[in-house]
Amino acid sequence: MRRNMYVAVAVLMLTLGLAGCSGGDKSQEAAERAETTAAEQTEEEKAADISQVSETSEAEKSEASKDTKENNSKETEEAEAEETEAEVEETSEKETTAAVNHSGFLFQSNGITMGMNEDVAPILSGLGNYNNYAESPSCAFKGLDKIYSYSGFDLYTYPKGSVDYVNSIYFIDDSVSTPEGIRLGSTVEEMLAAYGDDYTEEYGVYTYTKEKSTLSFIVTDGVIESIEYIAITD
Amino acid sequence: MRRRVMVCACCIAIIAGSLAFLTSLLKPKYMGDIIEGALIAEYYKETTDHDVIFIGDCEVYENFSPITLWEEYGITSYIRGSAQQLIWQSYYLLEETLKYEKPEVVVFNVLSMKYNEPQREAYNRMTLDGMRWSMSKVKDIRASMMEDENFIEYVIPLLRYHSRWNELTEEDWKYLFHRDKVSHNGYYMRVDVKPAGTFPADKKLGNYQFGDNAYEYLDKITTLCKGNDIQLILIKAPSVYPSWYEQWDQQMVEYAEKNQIRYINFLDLQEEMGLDFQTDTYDGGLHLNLAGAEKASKYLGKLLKEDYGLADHREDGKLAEVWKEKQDFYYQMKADQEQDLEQYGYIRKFHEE
Repeated sequence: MRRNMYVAVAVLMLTLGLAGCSGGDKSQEAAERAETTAAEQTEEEKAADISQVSETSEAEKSEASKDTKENNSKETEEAEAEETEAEVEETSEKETTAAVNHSGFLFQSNGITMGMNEDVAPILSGLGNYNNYAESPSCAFKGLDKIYSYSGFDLYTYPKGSVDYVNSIYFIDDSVSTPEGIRLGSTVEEMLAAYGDDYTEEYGVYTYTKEKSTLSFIVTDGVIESIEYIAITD
Repeated sequence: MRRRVMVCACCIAIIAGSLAFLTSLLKPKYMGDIIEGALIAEYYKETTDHDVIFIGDCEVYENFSPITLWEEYGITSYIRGSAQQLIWQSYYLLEETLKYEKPEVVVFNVLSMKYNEPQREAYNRMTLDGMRWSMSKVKDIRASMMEDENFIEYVIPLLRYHSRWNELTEEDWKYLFHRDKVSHNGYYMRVDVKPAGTFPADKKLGNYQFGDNAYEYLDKITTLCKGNDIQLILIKAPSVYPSWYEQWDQQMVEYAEKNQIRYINFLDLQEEMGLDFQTDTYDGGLHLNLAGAEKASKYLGKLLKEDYGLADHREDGKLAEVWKEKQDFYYQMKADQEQDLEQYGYIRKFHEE
């Protein structure tokens, strides 16, 4: 009898343990948010460091101005050199940060480089005013997928937690092109020259895959009629 | 020995009870802003039969009002719709419905023909979790599961929802043992208005042909209806977006002709129906609001009456009593939503903070 009771309690504990185990989508979301916050904090710290270097340079400059002309001149030159070095360091770090964030097929517009599955907020900020905004049709989760229309392309997003990410970019006319120079109206030969022959093809849709993104071309009679970047999501 | 058996039975009962309690607690209730997951289960509370059964996705359960069909024509109907209901789910829901009743007409929205494979677990759950257990449900689950889903998680929902323990809200405790009625014979009511805006350009497709799996289940729906002497009507519900390509429409026209069934594309009839997408939609043209759904229902009801000779049941005392209760609930919800709009500018239940 006692053994049976122990078994019953063990099963109940196991059940409660299953119910109490961490993980699941929400916990994963929380972890990702924590990661994002940590990354943002790291960037803020870097910015603070750069700012501190600049402030230090400024302090040195003001000290130098009290000395003789020659000394002033020399110290000013040194301070300016340090400031320039700080600026170069800042630019380099930004570029490094930017390079780390981009992956897969990239698209550029208005000086902004964007890739699939990227946080859309800085992209939208960089692109400026959009021509049109719409919400993608959804039966239950209304208003979550968004569509921003710009000159030449539509930008589709999907949400994950509280952040929107790039889901796809669809060309709507030939005013834009891929960084490799392919636009609506380009020939399939030009596409092959730009991207090679490592593609899958079905019903005239040529799809290239790179990391977590695909780039698809719909070809009719040898001419590209559609270009779309699509995110590969979990 | 007898005592040992009794103790064993008690232990099992306690464990079973605990598991049942935990399952009930941790399962999503769909009583908050996303009520779509509660639609399927409400059907089983019906006490009378229906002359018309609708099957399909949000384009049926948001665009047609059974109360209007009753009030205007005495037609009894139920919408067995659910969020992004896939065509095989429509088939198995219809198959299951026919175990409870036999309607005169089945109306099926064909937008789901564009999905040839399972799409999303969240939508699967909204359709499947509400179904009563039957062979239809078993087959439906097997046809719907995504790659990372497991059948056992539908049998024992606790295995799927155990991680919700740290997401429990007041709603989970409040609706532990009951659910509020959220629909009107399957109709999802929204009285608010958001005029239709401009939508992005239609995406070109490489292939407009509906998939073999979709056609297989459309054939099954057609055969099931014909085998039960039920009139099947295929429809494309009215909306501004998403795209319903000409190539898709042509396939449905040809299918209907080949199988001698009716296909109605309401997109071509929106003006005739009197729809105005500046006032008759609550989400910018994707779905109709109450005003739009009532217009669409009046139009469809006239067609059902004239072309299918459906009986007017308004003089049937027992049915009238049942439907009076439904009407009261309908107009109460309408009044509550309108009051919210006046007071807050939005419907509180569906408003995200």
